[in-house]
Amino acid sequence: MEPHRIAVKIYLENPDALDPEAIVPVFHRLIQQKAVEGIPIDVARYAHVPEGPGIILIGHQLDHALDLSEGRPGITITRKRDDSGPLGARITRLVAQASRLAIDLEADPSLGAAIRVNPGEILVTILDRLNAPNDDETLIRAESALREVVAAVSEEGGGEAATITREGGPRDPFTTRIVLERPAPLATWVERLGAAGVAA
Amino acid sequence: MSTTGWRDRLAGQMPPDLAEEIDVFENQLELRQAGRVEERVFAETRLRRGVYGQRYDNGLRHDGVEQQRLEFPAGDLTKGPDTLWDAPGMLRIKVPWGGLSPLQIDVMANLAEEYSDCILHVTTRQDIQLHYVHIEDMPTAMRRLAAVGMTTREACGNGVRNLTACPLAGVCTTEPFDVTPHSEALFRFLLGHPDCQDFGRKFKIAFSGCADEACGLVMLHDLGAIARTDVVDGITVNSFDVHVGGGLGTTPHQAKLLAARVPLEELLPTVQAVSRVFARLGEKQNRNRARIKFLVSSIGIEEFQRLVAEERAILPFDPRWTAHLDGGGLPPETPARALGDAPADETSDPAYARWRKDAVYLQRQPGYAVVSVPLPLGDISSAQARLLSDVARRFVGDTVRTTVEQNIVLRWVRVEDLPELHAALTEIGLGDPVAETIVDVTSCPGTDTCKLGISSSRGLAGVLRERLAATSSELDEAVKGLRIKVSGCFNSCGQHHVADIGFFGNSRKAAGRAVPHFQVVLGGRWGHNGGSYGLAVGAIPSKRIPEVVDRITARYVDDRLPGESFLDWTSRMGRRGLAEIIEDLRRIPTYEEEPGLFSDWGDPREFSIGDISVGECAGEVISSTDLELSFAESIAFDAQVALEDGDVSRADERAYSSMLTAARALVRAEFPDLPEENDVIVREFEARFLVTGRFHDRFAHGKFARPLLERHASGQAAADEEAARALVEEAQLFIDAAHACQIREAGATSATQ
Repeated sequence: MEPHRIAVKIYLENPDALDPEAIVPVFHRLIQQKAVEGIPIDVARYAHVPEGPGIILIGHQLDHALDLSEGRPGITITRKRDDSGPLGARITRLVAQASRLAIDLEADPSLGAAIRVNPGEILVTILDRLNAPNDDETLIRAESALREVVAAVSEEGGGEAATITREGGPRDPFTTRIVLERPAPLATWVERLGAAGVAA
Repeated sequence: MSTTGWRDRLAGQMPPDLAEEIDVFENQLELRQAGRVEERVFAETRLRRGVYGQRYDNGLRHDGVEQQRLEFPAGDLTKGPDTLWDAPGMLRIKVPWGGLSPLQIDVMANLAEEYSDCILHVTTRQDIQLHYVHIEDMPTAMRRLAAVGMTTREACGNGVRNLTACPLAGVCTTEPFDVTPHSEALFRFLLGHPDCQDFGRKFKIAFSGCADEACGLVMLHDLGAIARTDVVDGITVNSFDVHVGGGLGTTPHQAKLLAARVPLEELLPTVQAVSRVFARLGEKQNRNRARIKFLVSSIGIEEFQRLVAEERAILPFDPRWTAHLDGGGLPPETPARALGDAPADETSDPAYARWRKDAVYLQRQPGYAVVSVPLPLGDISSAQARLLSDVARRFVGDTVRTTVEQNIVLRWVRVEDLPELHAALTEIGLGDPVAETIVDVTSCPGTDTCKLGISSSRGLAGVLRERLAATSSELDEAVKGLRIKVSGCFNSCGQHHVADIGFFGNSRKAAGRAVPHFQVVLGGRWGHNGGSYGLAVGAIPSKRIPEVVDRITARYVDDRLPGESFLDWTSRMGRRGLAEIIEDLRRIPTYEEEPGLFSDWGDPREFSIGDISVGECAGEVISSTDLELSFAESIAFDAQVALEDGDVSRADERAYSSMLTAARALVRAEFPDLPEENDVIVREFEARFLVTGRFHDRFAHGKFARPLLERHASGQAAADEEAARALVEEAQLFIDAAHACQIREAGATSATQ
């Protein structure tokens, strides 16, 4: 499967603590410092759209977002182009980038520790209705890749301990929710997955 | 990119002519990447396919400290002058007269997720825009739109843009008749029409059912038609008053009456005649003076009327002029739900009562209503759009329209369904009763995405919206209905001229630093089709604009005479009186006193105008001959691909078609009414260019024309691959010769001037 766009979302534990607009200067700083991958371009502000894409650091290859969709704020990384390889590796790279951004936002003094990310849940969306329709067949094809992700972000020996559920209907993009029973801390994700990322 | 996949998947689902056009455009992408299409020609080609540039597409972005270069993988490859290939672009989707179906909404939601930023944006001309789309994704997006009857063709560039109409057309209580079928007929007629390919600037058309309401805002359009009904000898006669030469921009003009009581069957030929006059006489060198309003103004409306009448008299008959009147037009809308016996929509819920009062318009058809669905800043997420399309399916079917106030209306809602609909809309975050109130601030994209934006129109609009929403229940009734519109610059895409309270972005300097400002424009007339334009009363720092709104509205409430409208109050106050109200807000403090003033809304970067670049609103002035020759190249490329694929018959057909297209391009430059029949094209080409020797060059003489003549005369496709290969090669030589002929003729023309 070679989908052209994939997104990974991890969730905030304390969604009410953060005014989404507070992210805007942070994202601008990341562009200024060229501190994120994916050729960052600009910041798009959509916090006024209910349960929408939130605040997006738009890039040529990657979008980084404080995502407000589903009514559950989180960090979403979307790979849009110039990516290839096995699906598991592609998703895992996105998970790495999401965790890297999460850690740096958690530590960003301008946000006043308002961001805390829950490592126990990951939403993986394949935004390619032609190659990955939202059906059980796609889930079968994607399952091993998703299991790779589980193994990469679970505690030692926790590789199988997760629930993977496909969500939505035939009109929706292929969406799977991974709920980890034994998630490793975010810092471990970054260590294992070796993400390049935001400068301290 | 799964281009082939979607192309195959949608084969047979797209109208054949649209499918071919998209194939041609896709070929042109490849040709551009191979350096075989000149960048200006490519730019205008893509603009005419609704593919627009966005801010920073020159690869430069000021980060608040310094200008940064965006290092895209495609390097210096461009998609237009100073427009990098990989830079994100905008896809503008035409929504003629605002008409949408739930299926179309679903498809656009899908495109927003797969190619854009998960947002559908409704514009001030009823279009939908998707931002941050890569050019290589555009053909696929276009195919998926075509499969549900949508087009991006001529959404940008120097042609006829989206055709807008009042969103109440057909259900309005004051209209004489429904303008929708006429809007649709004119839209289809003009789309790709040869007489509309040689404009020096864009051309915007609007339809109104009512002269006195805001309706379609005809008075600020290049051309507009207002419906009317007269009783003549006891017979009701429907017709249009056609107006021409309106426009906003930097120098707003009110449209003038071209012709009153234009019979329905004369509408399309009248517009065609106007198009020919504009194409022939409109300014093409000075882009700032190239809109039709300047032509009408410079020669006077009477002379313009004479020219149009003259042109009309020689137009060859076209059956499409009246096909929509003879039963071939758009079928009338029908409600999805018949009226039932349900009780009236009475409820004690105060939220519902408020919504019922402000968001519902009772149609002239008893028992039905139009519901306004406000979209904040014109934006709706893809997920929300799908939920809205479900709501539409459930309650109204296909009777959905966008509005120029960047909202959506659901028509033919049964009154008895209103409580249930309100609940459904509230559940998906779209149940606020703010549409067409002061809270519903309209804005162009401004510095968010537009290359010409000076100040953050969306940033300001968002702040005003939030503040006004928070205080809306306390606002005086006289203020609640006021309209606020914001443009990011003087080009007026936010329609600030016809707002009660309008703003357009500019900048001022203070002690060497740039400060974002907005010019305050008060007292525009929304009614009477955008009947008059507001007064500019002074430029105020952007961050002080909320204070401007507070002061102006408070002063109006305090000062107004009983029943005095805001428009009348501003007239009475005059420019000086209004300016005095906000005069002290003009002062710019030092940076140290108030650093926040030196950045714009929603953007922490120190304000700069360094990111403004060359806009594409004016398109590129490319002759229709150049464009057609470019299409011929693309078809020839298609022939080469077919040959490589071993498809001999397609290679033959495409090669032949490419030569016909190139021949047609040359002939049409001097014979605009050239019929489409191949026999005629070849005959005219031979007579005008071969017999006369114009197609000959010094060495090859006319030999490059021979393959077209022979292929046409034989009527036989190439027998085998070798013959097809020869024809494909000869087609390219024919096109090269056509280019050379055009260059020679242009040189000869300029030498004689």
